[in-house]
Amino acid sequence: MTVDPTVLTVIVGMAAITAIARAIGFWLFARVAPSPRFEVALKSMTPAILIAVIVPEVAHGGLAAWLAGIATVIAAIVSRQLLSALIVGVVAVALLRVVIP
Amino acid sequence: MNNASTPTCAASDVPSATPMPFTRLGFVRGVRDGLPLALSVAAFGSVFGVLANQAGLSALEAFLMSALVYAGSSQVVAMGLWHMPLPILPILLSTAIVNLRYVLMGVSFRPWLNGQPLHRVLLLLFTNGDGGSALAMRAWEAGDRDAAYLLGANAPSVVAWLAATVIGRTAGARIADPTRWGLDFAFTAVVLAALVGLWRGRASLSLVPWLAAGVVAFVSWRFLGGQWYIVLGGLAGALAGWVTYDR
Repeated sequence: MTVDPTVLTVIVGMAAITAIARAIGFWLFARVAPSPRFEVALKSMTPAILIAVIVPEVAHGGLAAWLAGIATVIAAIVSRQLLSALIVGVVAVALLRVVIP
Repeated sequence: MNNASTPTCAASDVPSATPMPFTRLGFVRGVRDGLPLALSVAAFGSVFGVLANQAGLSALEAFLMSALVYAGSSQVVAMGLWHMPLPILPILLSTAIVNLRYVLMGVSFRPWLNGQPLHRVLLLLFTNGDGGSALAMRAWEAGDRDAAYLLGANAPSVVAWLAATVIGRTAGARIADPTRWGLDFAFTAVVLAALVGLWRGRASLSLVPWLAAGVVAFVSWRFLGGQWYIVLGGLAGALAGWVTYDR
């Protein structure tokens, strides 16, 4: 049970940024509602960054990871559930790595 | 103050000028509706715990992050960036980008929580999550007049998120060889599944911003180095959403 000072600093920084995001809309946009175009831009950011995050894995994950990724997406579409999709993906990659060296 | 242009007011039942009450009964109604939500939050929380273990966070550090940040997607993204020495600026910037949607939630709460005391608004905003806010919006627009509903709807998720973080982190530490069991793929799988949930169809809404994010992130990852591809990909998606907006 340890807390590294740098790690704690980063956590507090993340918390502060998130806190500002939580509060700012309520007070800053109290008088001027953001335009629908601005809303679409903001809403596009979350999926965009999630795509960006997996780019290295997509780029050199190899065939096993690619196939497991496809299995994960299909499982997510069918089940609409994060956990079952995750289990399918993890099991798929573990099995595929045995088959595909 | 006029909030008539805020999107939530487009519903049939417009919020009134007088502040909503904040009662125990409203809280209980919220808890009742929020309980099923807590199941999926617990699943997500345990995944975050496993990822935190792989990234090298102690159980206490993982707990502190879940308690203080309390924003799942941004925590998962941070775990993807969590290599020593910590890329502090990219972590903080991607946290900001992932959590910008809370700005919009704050905007949509404004007409409903007008006139509530400051400490109560802060409590509601800081325990808020994606699922709970959706439940509250639906309940309020359907005629439920209680601000405590929002707190109740989020309460089970808060408990589930914190407990599951610790459980996932502890369980993850007991698995000797994560790669053998495919657990190193968990991060990618979570992100892919989350993306499926965020997909809004090809009609410009998702396709162009998602493509822009992928291309820009790949190019900057390949040629720029470092961790900037994440921030640049996020910004490219937002820009594409701005440019292709056509309604």
